[in-house]
Amino acid sequence: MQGWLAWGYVGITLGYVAAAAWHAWALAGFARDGPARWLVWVTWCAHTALLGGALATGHIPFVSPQGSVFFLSWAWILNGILLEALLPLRPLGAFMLPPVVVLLVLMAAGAPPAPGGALAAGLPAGTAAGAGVLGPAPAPGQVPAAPAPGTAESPLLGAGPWVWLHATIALLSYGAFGLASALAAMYLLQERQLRVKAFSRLYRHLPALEEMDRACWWLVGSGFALLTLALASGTLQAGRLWEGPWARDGKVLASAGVWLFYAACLALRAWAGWRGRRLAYLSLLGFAVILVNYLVVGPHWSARHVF
Amino acid sequence: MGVIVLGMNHRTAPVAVRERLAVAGEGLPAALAELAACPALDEVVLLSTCNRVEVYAAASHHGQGRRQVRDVLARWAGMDPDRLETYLYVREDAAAARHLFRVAAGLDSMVLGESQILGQVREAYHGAAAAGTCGKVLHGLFQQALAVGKRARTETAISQHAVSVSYVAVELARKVFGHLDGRRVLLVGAGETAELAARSLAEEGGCRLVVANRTLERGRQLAAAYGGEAVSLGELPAALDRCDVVISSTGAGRPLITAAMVRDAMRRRRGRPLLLVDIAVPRDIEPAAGRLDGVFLYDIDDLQAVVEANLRLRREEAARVEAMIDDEVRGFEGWLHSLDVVPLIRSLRAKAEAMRQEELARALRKLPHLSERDRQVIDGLTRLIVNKLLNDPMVRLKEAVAGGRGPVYLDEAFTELFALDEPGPAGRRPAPQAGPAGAESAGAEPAAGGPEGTAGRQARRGQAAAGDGAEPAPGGGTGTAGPAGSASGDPVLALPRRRFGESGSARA
Repeated sequence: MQGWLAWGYVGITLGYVAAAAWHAWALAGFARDGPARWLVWVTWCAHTALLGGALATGHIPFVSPQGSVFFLSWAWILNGILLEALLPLRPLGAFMLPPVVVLLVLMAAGAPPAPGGALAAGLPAGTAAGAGVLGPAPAPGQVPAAPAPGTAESPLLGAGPWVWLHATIALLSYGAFGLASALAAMYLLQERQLRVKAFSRLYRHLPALEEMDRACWWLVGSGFALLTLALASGTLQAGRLWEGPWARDGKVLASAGVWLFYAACLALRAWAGWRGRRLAYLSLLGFAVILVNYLVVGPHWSARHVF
Repeated sequence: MGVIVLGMNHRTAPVAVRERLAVAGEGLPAALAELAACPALDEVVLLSTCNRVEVYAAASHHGQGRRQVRDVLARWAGMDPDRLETYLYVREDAAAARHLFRVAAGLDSMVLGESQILGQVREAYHGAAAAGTCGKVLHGLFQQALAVGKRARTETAISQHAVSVSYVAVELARKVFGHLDGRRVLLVGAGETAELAARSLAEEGGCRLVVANRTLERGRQLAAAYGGEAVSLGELPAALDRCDVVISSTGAGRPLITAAMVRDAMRRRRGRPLLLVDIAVPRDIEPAAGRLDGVFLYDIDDLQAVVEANLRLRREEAARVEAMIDDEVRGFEGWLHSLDVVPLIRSLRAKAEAMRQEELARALRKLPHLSERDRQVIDGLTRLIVNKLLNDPMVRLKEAVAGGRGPVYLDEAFTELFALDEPGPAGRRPAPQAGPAGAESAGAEPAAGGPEGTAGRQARRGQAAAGDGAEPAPGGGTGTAGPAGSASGDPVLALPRRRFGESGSARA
């Protein structure tokens, strides 16, 4: 059962890799970016179908790092597709895809071999972990059949739907912050060109500063709202599920730090008139902290979080 | 029938010469009529702009046509024709088409890729069409030229990126703010370039104009013209809070807008970006203002550098347009030659139809007992036989010509084989102007600018050498008047077979 999900994970990754390459090619002026956007669309639809299939067959994406990246990348691309449709941010795809691709590949490569050896030859070990756990659809109090790969005993086992909701919202907020950081990178590139008055080909492709600024902070705002919800739902669950001083859990502390950081950014923007370059750097920094939190703190310094 | 162009542009003639030939709107019909009166010219279009005066003509005899156009132009300019000739360029057939296509695409303009010229070409064409001096050949040429001009602008970046200082300012504003609708533009002073930029922003971007001027009255006039407001120079700091783009060009000679002023404004603007465009020399805005976060300051040198960079981009794009034009010229050539065979086909049909009618009438006289329906059947039968017989040769002839392989031999072979040069239903048609392809270079691309027509004619003359002495034929002659064994007859009889084989393979 894990085979098709593992293959799917690899296929989706390759689709995004190809789209990212095409976008880069278009940005360099060798081609139009239409096919790349179309490819993102198709890959994302396949991604959605896989995710739906996984959920329908009882594979929960949040019990393993691979599964979580699989979901995070889905939310990230969804945001990007929506933004590109709503706002004139044309080469967003070129900046939105590389981090997604890196995350997907990192997780696939870094995962330990999956138990059961359901992988076909030639598949990188661990991709099957994206399949998560075999078991019935989640129901309150139900225990999935097998422990999640990558963790000896998944702390999420036996958690109710509230925990899944907490994880979902958290990943959605990461997706929003991630996309905001891609926009911040675009902003900084364009701002620099306008300031030093050296216009490359990139300058002609990139959208207007104000458009990027607006979209970036709209995303940060929505990411912040989601993160607030995630922290609140986590707090409510923690008392119920965990013993001991859960507030000293590494992930909890780091997440509270991230929340404070973004709160400060939004406050500076709203009340101190901070705009533009400085805030774009802060947006990048914030997402870097989130990544560390997501890739390092959660899996390694938190006994109670898978990611 | 071929195309020639005689003309001068900003590169070949000084304005002192060009202005003598410039034809304004009302004078165009008279000028066209005078040109059309030249006996050698069948069709004429006159393109007259501030940078060029060009006469496009369809003529059977290029040499005569060229001389007559030159003489008319010399008369207009009040100059000696020989002296005028030093300023003129002449192009024929494919080279003439290439020239017009390049003009329409903006490759020949003073500012590479400028888009006004396309409208001017269109006007020249419509003017000639209205005056009735534009016939089939020039209709085809100009319609294709307009299409080429449009293609060049949509499929390449030849006309993208601003190449004027005022327009660069508009482009920068778009790159900083995106939508300009409803944003305020502050115009300080009233330099011409600054005013132009502000006007573009107001008209194209939908910006609102705020004019700051030393004399408030002048500012009011300007503001009224664009539905804006006028402020005094004393109100500049307050205006900086409200406006997103500042275009300054006063003759003040000292910085009107200081870095401190901009810093205060930025504080009040809560970080909203500010685009400062300083067109004045000496500068109006302190350079230190450009180092502030969120402030983008461009002086006249910066704008010029952007113009230069954009022009470089356009030059890179020009190569793509040239390649596009190469294709289009080939297409035009094929079409021009296909015109040559139209009369040939027409005369062949006429001859066949005349024969059919004659023989049909004779046969029906011998069969008086036939019913009307029987007569119709026989009539249909003969028509069908004739049509079927003629169909393949005509298709092959059209194909050979459209493929750019000039009708150098084929049409002559036709004329000879079907005796179309005999008086009868189909009289002799004037020999067509030779196409770009001699016998050897059939299908090869003509060298740009070379008088291909001449080459073709010489090839033809070489063939006809034997015939020339025996019987001077008009228009170069077919050279086949001699007995079939003559030197000139051989290639004519031998070549069609080879040609048919070729066109057969071309169809496969």
